[in-house]
Amino acid sequence: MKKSLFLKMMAFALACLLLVACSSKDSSKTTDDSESAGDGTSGEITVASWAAAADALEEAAENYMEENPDAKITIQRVGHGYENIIPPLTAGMGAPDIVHVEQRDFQTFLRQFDGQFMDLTDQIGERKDEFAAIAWEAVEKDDKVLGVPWDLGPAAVWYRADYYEEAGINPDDIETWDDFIEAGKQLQEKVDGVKMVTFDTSGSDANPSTWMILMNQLSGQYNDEEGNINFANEPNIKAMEMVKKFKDEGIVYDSGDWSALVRTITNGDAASVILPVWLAGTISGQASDQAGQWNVMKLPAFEEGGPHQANLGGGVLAVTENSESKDLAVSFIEYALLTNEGQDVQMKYGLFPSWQPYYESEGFSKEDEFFGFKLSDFFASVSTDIPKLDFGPYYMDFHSELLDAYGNVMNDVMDAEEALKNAEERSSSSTGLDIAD
Amino acid sequence: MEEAKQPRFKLNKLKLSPYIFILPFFLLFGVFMLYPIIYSLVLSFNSWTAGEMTFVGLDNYKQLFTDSLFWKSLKNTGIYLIIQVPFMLLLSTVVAVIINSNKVKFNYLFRVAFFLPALIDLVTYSIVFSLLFNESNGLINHLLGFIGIDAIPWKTDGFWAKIMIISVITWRWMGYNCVIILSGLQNISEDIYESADLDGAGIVKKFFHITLPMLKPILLFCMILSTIGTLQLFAEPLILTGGGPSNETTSVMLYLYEKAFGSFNFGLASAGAYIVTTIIAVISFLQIKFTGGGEI
Amino acid sequence: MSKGMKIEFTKILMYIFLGLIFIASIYPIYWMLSASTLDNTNIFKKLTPGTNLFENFRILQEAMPIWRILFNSVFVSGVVTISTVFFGALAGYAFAKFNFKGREPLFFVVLLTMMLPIQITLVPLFIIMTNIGWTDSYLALIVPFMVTPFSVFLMRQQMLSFPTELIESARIDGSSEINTFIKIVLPTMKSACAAVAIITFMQQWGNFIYHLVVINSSEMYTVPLMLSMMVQPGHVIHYGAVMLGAIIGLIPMIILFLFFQKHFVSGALSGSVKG
Repeated sequence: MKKSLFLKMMAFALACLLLVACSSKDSSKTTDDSESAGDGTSGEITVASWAAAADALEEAAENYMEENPDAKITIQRVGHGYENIIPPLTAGMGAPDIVHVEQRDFQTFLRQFDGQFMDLTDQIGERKDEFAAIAWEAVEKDDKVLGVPWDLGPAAVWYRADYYEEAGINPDDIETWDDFIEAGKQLQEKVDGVKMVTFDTSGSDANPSTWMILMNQLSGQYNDEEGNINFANEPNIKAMEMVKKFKDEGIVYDSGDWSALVRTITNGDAASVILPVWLAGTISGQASDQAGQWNVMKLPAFEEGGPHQANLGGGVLAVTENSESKDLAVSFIEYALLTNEGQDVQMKYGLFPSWQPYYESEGFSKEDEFFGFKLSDFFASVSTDIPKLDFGPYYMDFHSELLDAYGNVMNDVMDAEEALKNAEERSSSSTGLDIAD
Repeated sequence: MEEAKQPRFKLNKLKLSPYIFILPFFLLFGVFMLYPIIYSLVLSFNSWTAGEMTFVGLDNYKQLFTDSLFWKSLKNTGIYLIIQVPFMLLLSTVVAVIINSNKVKFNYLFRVAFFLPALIDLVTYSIVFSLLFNESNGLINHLLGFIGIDAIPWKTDGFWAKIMIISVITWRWMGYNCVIILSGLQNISEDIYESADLDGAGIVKKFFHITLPMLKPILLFCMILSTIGTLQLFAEPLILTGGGPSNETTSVMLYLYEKAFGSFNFGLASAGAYIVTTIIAVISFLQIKFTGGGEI
Repeated sequence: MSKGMKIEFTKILMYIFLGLIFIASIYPIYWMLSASTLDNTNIFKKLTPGTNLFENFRILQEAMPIWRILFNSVFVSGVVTISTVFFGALAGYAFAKFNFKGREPLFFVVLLTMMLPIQITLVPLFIIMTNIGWTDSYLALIVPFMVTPFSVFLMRQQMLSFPTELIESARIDGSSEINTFIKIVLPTMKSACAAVAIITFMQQWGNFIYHLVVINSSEMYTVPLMLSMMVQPGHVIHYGAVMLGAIIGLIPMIILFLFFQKHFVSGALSGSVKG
């Protein structure tokens, strides 16, 4: 009796398996017969992306397919850590037709996966001037265009206008980061249980965002012009020391990772957040009861009259060499990133375009209901002169070292210069690059 | 296999049967485990990008052995191993013994509740614990505040960050081991305890002189499983601390994962995995030898 | 008298000890439950349940084909578990009760691979899957895990203590080898099978990085993959919906555990576990 039960279970399992085997064979390989029909708007492609960016592509793809019924575009949601796209690119097969890569990582991809991305020079090359210069930087290699810049992350200080008002702080008076610290002390005196600003102060988040914004603001770099490692330069050190000062002056609410940061915002435990434009979606989505309470100001400078623009984040879309419908892939990217219609969708999901002609469009300057003012006008005004930052072909090797350096400084293990020098040495030994003098 | 061709039917069957029994296993095992494993062994002597492999000899191994972070990650893993595994198994054993004693009511309820943590998936578990251990407003620091203890820097101090990871792993796997140990306890006959009672042995004495020796095989089993699990520890530091502060919580598997997916260095990561495997094999072997595990 | 008090005292201590561990074990689960009824604004503020359960369910259902995903997880883990238990027992039996050429080296290979971190096979496995066109299918999720060295190891350990005389007398009675295994040996191995089943099922249920690499479409997601996609940073995360998804994903596990746990223990009581 037991035997028959067991055998039945086994038979059932095997039957299921066979069934699955057959059905999956049917559905998998249909791409061959839909080879592009010449105009590049038919065929089947897969686009790998994540989070809000994937939402935006999803909507753009629906619109595109409505106009081009012969096209089938599937958005594949992948992990932010590239876990899905690295194995196929490493193996040289099976990659999606279009991949989304962070701006800062793209040159590393181009080095590691040389020849795996389609040369887009003929299609996109002459439109270089239409894109913000800092975004374009990431997609060129050896005079070839290998990707299309997507969004920008112009940074600012998001603040709770109600808290500032309660503490009697006029944001217009905050000219420098030192003013910001002083205002913070004033705020913490007046508003009970609220800290001036929140970010991760231990290196446990995935990015040392605050430092990255401040170093970019000061035109800090990771490499010198010859491509040598150069972390311990003056702007980088100065930025690191300022972030440490925020912590030492007691104005920071340590948020740790992303979900804790979100919690800090929804709980109203901090009055400001130093992050790019894309925080808008998070605030309006997760703290819907705080409508009208938020405002935004440009980054304070290090010295009066100093630079106050910086970028953090932003993506690139690239077509992989193993794509069988390259024309469709290019056509879709052109639609999504180089038309007002496509960019309207990006904007809706908080992706601030790096394609500048869009700034003139109607959709761009819509007033945001949640915030009660025009987000786009403000962020356009703080993305006119963002210092260029060349991440170079080894940034992905640098990143964890830089994050460690940040943690070392924040946790009083080393001072800023020592920590950055240490990171230089570690990066040098893992990449074989020289350190700049 | 040659013997299988012998003419005598009975013997033939007996000789052939074991091969038939292990055939399905080795078929699947060969294609989907052994082959990838050998593939990655080859990989460990190569540098691999964009579908092209370049032979680099022992470079990957050399690079690992000269990287101080690799040693640090090994050291961290060793600390987890030495502290967490004995602590957890002791706790599991004590809990199992208490539940097993006839005096406890609702023991079924306890058993189920203690096992629940092992069923929760990683993503959920990470969200919940990163919130509970939040330094400024996590529940755990709140509770400590109640009894007059200052907030503990769970994520900013290397020592406490390790304690956090150890507690979280213990939370997750204590009940799981408890259930395994319980099944061993229920094999120990009541008579032995009764005769010990007659000799006037106390609870503690009974625990050390009867329960522990009788549980040895099952404890060894749990120990080997936990050792392998701890040496392969990866998700908890990734999710809770990202390896920070200053790599104080980076486990060796996390280090290798970052080499593979952070710097695309699959060759290096494979080399590291082979080093870890060797360590696991040696430790398991020693555990078996020194505990006289005999037949395992 | 004093002895009775001492026993009472020990008993109270025991309950306090168990009670503390009980609270520590289930509090996070309670938090999940209450979080699944809260909206985004309240989720980090309130520790008590709210009224947003249905809204969270709507969000979850809109974002993910939750029932399909639940089926995927159950189906994949189920098939893998059944096959692992059966083939593991079969091979374990051969290793424990037969003398055959190559037994020692083969078993050594099994032991050794048991210690290899599974992450090591990730990329080669991906290449195999791409070459045979199995990516994004059940085959990719199931077939590579249908056998595990661990199950063979554990089964062998359990089978060693099975009395060889019983097998021999069955042989003398003319029972075929496979019949002997299924009719005589396997029924006494219930607790070992249950142990392997629970462990395998849990491992498969939590298998995540591999699924992330070989699965592309949300129809093929499994529960952890779905949850991880819902909590990508930089996104509006509906924590209530995520927690609801996590709870829905937890239910089959709990049912299975309750069901198998009886076998686990009753099998142990019948004395067939000898470690």
